Amino acid sequence: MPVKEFYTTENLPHPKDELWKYTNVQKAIPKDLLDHGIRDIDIHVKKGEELTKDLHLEGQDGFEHKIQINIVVEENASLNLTELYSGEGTYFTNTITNITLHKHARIKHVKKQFESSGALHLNNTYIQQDASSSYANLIMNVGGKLCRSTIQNVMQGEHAECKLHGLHLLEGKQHTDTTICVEHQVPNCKSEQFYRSALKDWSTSVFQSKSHVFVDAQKTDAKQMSNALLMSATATMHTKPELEIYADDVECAHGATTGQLDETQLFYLRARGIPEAEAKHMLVKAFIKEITDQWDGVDA
Amino acid sequence: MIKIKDLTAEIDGKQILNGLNLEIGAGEVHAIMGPNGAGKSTLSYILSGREEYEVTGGSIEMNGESILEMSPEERAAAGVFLAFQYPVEIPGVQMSTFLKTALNSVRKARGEEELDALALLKLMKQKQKQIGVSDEMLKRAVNVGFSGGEKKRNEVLQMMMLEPKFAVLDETDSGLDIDALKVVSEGVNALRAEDRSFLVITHYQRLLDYIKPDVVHVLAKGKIVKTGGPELALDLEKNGYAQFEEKAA
Repeated sequence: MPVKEFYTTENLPHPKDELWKYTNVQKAIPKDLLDHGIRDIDIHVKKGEELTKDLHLEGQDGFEHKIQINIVVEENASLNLTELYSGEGTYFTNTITNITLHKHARIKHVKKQFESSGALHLNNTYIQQDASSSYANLIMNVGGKLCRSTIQNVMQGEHAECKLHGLHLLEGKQHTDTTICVEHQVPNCKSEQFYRSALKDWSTSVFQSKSHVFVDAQKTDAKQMSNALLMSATATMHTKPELEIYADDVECAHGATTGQLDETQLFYLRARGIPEAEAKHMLVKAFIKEITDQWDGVDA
Repeated sequence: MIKIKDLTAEIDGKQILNGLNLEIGAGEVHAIMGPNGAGKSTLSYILSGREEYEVTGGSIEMNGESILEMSPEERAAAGVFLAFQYPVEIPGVQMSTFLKTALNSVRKARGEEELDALALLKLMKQKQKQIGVSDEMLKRAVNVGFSGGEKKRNEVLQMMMLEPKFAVLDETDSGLDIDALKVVSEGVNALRAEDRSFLVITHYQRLLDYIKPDVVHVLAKGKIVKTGGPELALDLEKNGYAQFEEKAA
């Protein structure tokens, strides 16, 4: 179901709700915020057209920002969208993104979540894909005190493709939660999720993702992968990849790893004179590179 | 140059080195030969500062100073170099970036000026040519997709770049065909110098035909059980290690 209503303190799901159990957003909402009102952003790309758009959304100390982005990309049209979130102080960015892709529409979507260290960032993205459309995104979660992103994708037309990439680079007591549900309602669609998290200090990250393959959705190709790197003994990763499959001729895979930096690699770099901190930095960069390399290979 | 005295060491509570004594003078090439499990690789890791190995007694001095308290990177800066038996693959880190970072880290620690990109490239080109490392290899990730021979050549290239004072070659001959062995040995021989010492660890005598040692030691059950000239290697090739294993026990 499309998310129409903004979550407010009153209607936010409780951690008792299965999909919200790792993230207590209610508790994280800063008190006494001023309502900045709703900002509507409409992006409509007409049939056959191409559009590149950059959005920079800044949070202000002491405010709740409600942002609704409605995106429609018509037949054979394409959109290259970059969203950047940043700000100062303590605030709440509460966003809803509705995305509709018509036949043969294409979207390449980057979201840079570089919020201030006191910010709460909440996003619900709802995607509807018609036949042969292609949606690809890369979400970089670097900032914010707490960030929860829900992505629901409904694939309603055959040969649609959806590639979701995510990077979580956290430190201190940061927390991110990515919850995804991709519904394969029709045959011959393809979905891929590829997430990597590098977690320092006491940070925590959540990757829970469900691929739901309907009974008619034969020849579905659905993949999920989450790899986490724990950089400290106190960092935590919660991973829950899920497949719910009702069709019998499908190719579905899910995988998850959680580990530490490879000691042998670290020693090799240090034995060549590279100081420990820099060697670790090189290995984390290498870990991330696989995602950015794959992203660079995605057609706009 | 290097003085190892009564060295004892363990890993995971298992004692591997049992009072090892070894002295290598400046400009000398020493070979250590020994059966599997004698402690050859342990010695190489301890010399280069791998933390999983715990030194429980004895000392290692380089030019009169203990290196035991030094981190691996500090030892590299001081001039210790280990050519790995199994060079490590590091996906996502490009060879050229790795070489640049390593060389400049070492130069910085040695109080030398860091090289700019152009000077580095020039140096790299010159060295890689000597050891037969292609430009294409330097564009790949560190050791990823390298053949056995390419990996070992890459180790020697790193050694040429870092110009150590004391180089440990841990079974550099393993996995090499005869042509690669020649190339690698020529690289090592080109580095022989009055102020540079080598410790060549090997299981077989073959490598010592190419890298001629001044002194040969036999390592068995965690200590040196015999020391001799190059002829000792030939004797070992002929008569095997069994005689020493009994002695050590």
